[in-house]
Amino acid sequence: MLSWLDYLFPNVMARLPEFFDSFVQTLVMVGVAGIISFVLACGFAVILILTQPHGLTPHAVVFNVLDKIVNTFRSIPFIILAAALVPITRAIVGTAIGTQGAIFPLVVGITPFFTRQIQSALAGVDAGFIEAAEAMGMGTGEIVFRIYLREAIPSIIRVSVITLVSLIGLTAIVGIVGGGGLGDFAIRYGYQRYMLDATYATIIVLVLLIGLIEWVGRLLVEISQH
Amino acid sequence: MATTTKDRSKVRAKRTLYVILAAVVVVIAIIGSAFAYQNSQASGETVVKVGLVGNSDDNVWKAVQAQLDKEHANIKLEYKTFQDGIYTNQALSNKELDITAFQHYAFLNQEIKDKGYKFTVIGNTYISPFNLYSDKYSSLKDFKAGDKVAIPNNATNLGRALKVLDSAGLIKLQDSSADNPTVDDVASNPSGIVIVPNDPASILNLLPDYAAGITNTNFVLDAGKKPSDALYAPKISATSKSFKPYVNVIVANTDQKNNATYKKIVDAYHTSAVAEQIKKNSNIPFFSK
Repeated sequence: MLSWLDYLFPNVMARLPEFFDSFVQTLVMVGVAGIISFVLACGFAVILILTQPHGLTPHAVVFNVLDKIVNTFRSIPFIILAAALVPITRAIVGTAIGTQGAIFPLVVGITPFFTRQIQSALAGVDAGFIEAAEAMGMGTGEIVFRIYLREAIPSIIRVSVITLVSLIGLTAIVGIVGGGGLGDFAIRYGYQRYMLDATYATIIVLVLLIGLIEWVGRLLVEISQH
Repeated sequence: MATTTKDRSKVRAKRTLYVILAAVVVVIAIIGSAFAYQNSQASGETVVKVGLVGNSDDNVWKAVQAQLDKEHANIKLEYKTFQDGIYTNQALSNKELDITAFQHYAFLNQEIKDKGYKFTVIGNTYISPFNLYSDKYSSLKDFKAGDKVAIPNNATNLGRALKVLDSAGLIKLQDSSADNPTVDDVASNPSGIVIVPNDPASILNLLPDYAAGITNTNFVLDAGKKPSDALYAPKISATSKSFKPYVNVIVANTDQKNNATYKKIVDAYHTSAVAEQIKKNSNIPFFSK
């Protein structure tokens, strides 16, 4: 088995600890940035849903400002955003390089997309439920947690899976700031050093990782549906 | 209440999920303990973070570490590999790196000029040949008007490539000794070639699409070619003034220029074992001041 791997992926097997580190770096980046971004995106999406015209607490200024910010950040290509954020990253995180320094740009890069995704999940909640809750005298906070977020759980899981997969794509780009990860490994060895097996090994691992995420997502949707 | 098919599939989904989660936890635990083991191994050594770009000098730095170990210097080199020199210099300036070894004087001086970095060269390393390669032609006379020639798209190597084209007689620069000429400094173009800036890593892969290309030697070697396969190679002379800007260097922050640990690393670099590895990469050691 090992000699077989040596034959197929000679350059990767020669750098197995580094390949392994890169994989862990990818997991850390996706995990940490994903969780932070999920919390932020839920918050922003709730604010957008509540303050939108015909929302529960319409507020044109808050809605428009947040909506435009989300649009602005969504229109900046991530490679440019990551480079532009370097000074801010350093001020906030203390370092702009390495896996640590990569997490902040990833959060800024993925949150607007995540917000839009969760916003659409929340918008899919049946208006009848909201009206019924209002009729029962529930306050806004209660409606948010007991109706909006709860009813939307299966769709939130679905959009989170989509977002996580995009986030894995972004982690390949933060290699420019020394962020590490599998994408960086593939660029440094596969692209810059023509070791094609490094690229193929990266693709295989990422396909498996995304498959696992999709699988867990499907199971969670099945469990949460009622 | 009777169990429905839906409930049963829910139970099955839950069970599968638990199995996956358990498997993930086990894998993470194994990885975690492997890391803990690794970290427990390294202690009592001075760790020096070295910023590198790409991995083509891996063998050279392995030899430096071996030399340090042989001297019982108790110094552990930790490599931080970047894809791009601009970020590497930012990280050095911000003390996220201790020293770097990836750039030549031309790039360093341009960066210092543009960004005001307080950097000092603590040692020279090597000169890398910078040649013109072609799959299509075997003589400089074969070039026709309209032929595309790919050169690196970063400022300093673009300038160096223009000087190579100038010394090959394909173009004429206004001043061939200027530091970083740009395409605007081309005075005349007797061969009629079209100069196309390109990512240096992909130039050799794209050579079939161009009449010729110039790129760094590390990419040439990785693509399976040798510097001697070049269609044209400017003569390298370590004493020639025109090559001085392209001597690669080890750089530290100016306030650390007398750091004894860094000096030991430079001394370990300037040994014949390291020179051997540099020659293996088809580069020319340049250890004098």
